[in-house]
Parts: sequence; C-alpha cells; structure tokens
Amino acid sequence: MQVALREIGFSTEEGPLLETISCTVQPGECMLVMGPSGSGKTLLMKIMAAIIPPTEGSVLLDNTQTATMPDRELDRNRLRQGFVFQDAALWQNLSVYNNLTLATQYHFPKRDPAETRRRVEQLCRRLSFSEDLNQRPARLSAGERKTAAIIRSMMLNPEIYFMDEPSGGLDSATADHLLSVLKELKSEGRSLVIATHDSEIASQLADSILVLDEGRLLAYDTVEQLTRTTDARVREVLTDVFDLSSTYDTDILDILGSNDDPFA
Amino acid sequence: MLFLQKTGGRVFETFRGFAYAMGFFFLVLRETVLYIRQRKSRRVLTFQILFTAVEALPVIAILSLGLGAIIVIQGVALLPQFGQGQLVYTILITVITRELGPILTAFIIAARSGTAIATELGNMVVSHEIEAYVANGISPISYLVVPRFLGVTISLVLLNIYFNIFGLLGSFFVTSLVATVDVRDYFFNVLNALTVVDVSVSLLKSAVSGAIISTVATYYGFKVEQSSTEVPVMAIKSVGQGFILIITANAFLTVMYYIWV
Repeated sequence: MQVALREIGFSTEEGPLLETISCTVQPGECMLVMGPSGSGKTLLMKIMAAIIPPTEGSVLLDNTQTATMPDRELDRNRLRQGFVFQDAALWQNLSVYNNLTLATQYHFPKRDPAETRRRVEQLCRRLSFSEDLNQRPARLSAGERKTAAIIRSMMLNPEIYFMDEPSGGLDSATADHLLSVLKELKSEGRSLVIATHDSEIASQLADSILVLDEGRLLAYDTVEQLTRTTDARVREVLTDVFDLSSTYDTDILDILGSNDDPFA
Repeated sequence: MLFLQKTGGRVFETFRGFAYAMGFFFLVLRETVLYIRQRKSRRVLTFQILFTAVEALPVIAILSLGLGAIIVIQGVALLPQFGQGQLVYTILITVITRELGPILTAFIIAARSGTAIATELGNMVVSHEIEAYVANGISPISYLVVPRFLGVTISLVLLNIYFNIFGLLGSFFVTSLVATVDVRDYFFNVLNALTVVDVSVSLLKSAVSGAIISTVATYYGFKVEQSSTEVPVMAIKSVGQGFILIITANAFLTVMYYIWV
C-alpha cells in the first residue's frame, strides 16, 4: 500500500499546526518521523493514516484521494493499516481480549472465533505477552498496554503500520522482541511509519526520515543522505537517535577532497 | 462597533453550531437505518437498554407511584366539591399518560443516562479511544452513537409505559385507601378515559425525547477536544440543553395534539 501526502497542512483557530508537507511511503519502506516534542509528529501520522483529515492538501492511498472516498471505502482501507497510539488508546470498557479482537468481530462477524483466538495466541507468543486477556486494560502496566496495542494493530495483518513511539514504556526484552517483529514485518514487505527515539529501531529499520520542527518540514530524505547533512538543526534532531560523529568526519574528509585518513 | 462585531460573531457561531448539530443528527439517522439493516454490534445496544431502562426502574416506580397517589388525593378532595368526581380518571390520564409520564421519565433519563453518555464519550475522546475506533475502520457514529440513540429511545418508550402502569396502580392503591373501590370499576373507568390517541401522543413524546437526549449527549461528548476538564463541562451542557429541548418538543406536541384532536 502506498501512502502519499501532497502539500498537506493542518490549522486550528489558534493557528497552523502543520504546514505544506509532502512525502510518500512506498510498499516495504520504513519511514521515520522525527522532531522535538510538539513538532506535530503524532498529528502527521494521524493524517497519513486518514484518522484526521488535513485542512489543506490531500492524502493519497494508492493514488486515490481520501477526501473523495466514501466513508465505507475509507473504513475498508483502514483495515489495511495498523495504528499504534503513543498512549496505547486501548478501549477501557472492553477486556484485553476484546480489545484485540473487536475489529475482527466487527468487520468479519462470520469468521470462526477459534481462528481469531489462534491469531491472538500466535501474536501474544510473538511479542511475549503472557498477561490474562480477560482483564481490563486498566490493570496492565504502561508497557503491557503498549504491547497489547501493538498486537491489536497486527490482528488484521495490515499492509502498513503507523507506530507512535512503539518502544516507549517497554522493558528491554520486549523492546528486543518488538525490534525483531518489526524486522520481520519489513522483510514481509509491510510498510512502516514510525515516530521513535529508539536508536535501535531507527538504525536497523529506517529507509527514509522526515524531520519536523514546529509543524514545518525541516528535512525529508533517505537515511544515507540525511545523516550526511550539514544543516545544524536537522543534525540536532537526528543526534537524538543516530550517531552522526562518523558521518560528520566523513563529510569533512569529503570536503577536504579525500576519504583517506590523513593521519594514517 | 466592537459590540456589533461581538454580537455578529456570536450569532454566526450559534448558526454554525446549529447547522453542525443538525448535520450530526441527520448523520445519526442515516447510520441508524444502516445499523438496523446490517444488524451489527447488538452488544452495545443491549448494554445501553440495560443501563438506561432496567437500572432506572426503581426510581421511575417510586416517582410514578407517588405521583399517581398525589393526583388521586387532590382529585378526590377537590373534584366532588364541584360535582365532577368522575373527572378524576380523565385528569389521571391527561396528567400521567399524556404529560408527566413522557416528560418526567425524559428528565430522569437526561440527568442519569444523558450525563453518563456525554461523560463516557468525552473521556474516550481524551484518551484517544475514539481515534482508535476510526483507526480500526469502526465508525464511532455507527458503533457508539447509534446503539445509544436506539437504546435510549427504546428505553424511554418502555419506561413511559412502565411509569404509566405504576402511576395508575399507585392511584388505585390510594383510592382504595380513602374509598371502597372495586378493582374492575377502577380500571374500567381508567381505560374508558384512555384513548388510542392519548397512548400514541405519550409514546411519540417519549420517542422524541429519547432521540433528543441521546443526540445531545453524544454530540456534547464528542465536542470534548483534549482536556479531561472539558468532560464535566460538556456533561452539564448536555443536560441543560437536553432539558430545554425536551420541554420545547413536549410543549410543541401538546399544542399539536390540541390543534388536531
């Protein structure tokens, strides 16, 4: 599934929150959305996932504008997407199991419940989630809620995942499981759009990076290009997750006209 | 100039809000038709009827028993003085069935379930649960609003019938305390005073009030934007606005009744 933004903007009565942003996520691509807190990362991801419509510009799902899609078609397209919210956003009035299976039950009421249960068990094993599924989400820790939200997003085996700080609140073992799951998803050709400060996810998965600052597009390019940038503000944002010291040294050497170490 | 500007701005905002609310109402109506056709998510509807109707039964029973008793006590004490003792049954039907039944049950449900719905949905907005429904391809209008709309409307009609039964029973018990009344005579007189139009108007009023309560409560629930402090504010607004609209609709239907019948 290809998702593209064409000069989208989002404004409220208080002013613009996002301004003139364009980007494209190809099938199988992993795009990182980076920027300081309050730069509009979450809002941008919600617009990309067609959860919130932009006030300017257009969102294209497989080259079709979401604004022109009938509601039902848009809902069908959303089944091809998985979204993990920063705060998990599990439905508090449902058990964890119902949180995981609601979309399946709602969209595929005739599906065999045993098949759905097998899918839940398979994903729980994959992410080492061993909590009692009959309890309410309020009884889970923040990390467990996030894991449950990740499992919920994977239930319908979507083509593209939007993940807002997926490893936030996870212990190191679960974060490792998550990283391997994300790698598998990418190798299966799933697209990933991730807002993260996790250097492991960033360095091992990212193909492209979109950098935001106060709602404006600061930079959008491949990882190779952006990690070589000389823009101080972009470097400041990227150093949060990338080790840029080596690339910077290489840049200096490029500028000097040689890739050889002059001190060798 | 500033005064005119502010007044104009407020008038414009009011009209915009009204247009938005009407759009919301028609969207709910459209989704209700689809919901009935598709038969989806009956679980939420069942819970809504359970919460709105079943849990409100004790309050409604006490209120209607007491009210029926009061009307009979006053009627029995006053009407014979004017030689109109038989009118007590007509007054019972007019007051309990046509007027107080629909409006009092509506007030109780607006205060009880209307607030609960607005608060629940408001909290869901704040915790991004509504967005989670959208992200999962589940329309919040279809999944959350329509079952509440149908649940409250059906519950209110049922509660009105229940209110009437208890109101008329309560009046019978009081009548039997102050005078020797045969059960058959009492119910014969009550049923004699009751017409199909009375029942229809009463049920119509309840259905309209149910639609008003659920639409207003869900509308204000969704008007919460970001902060949990907005939730109680919107809940209070939903009750206040609901009361005004219920009284207006009931008064309108009463006027229509007297024009046409």
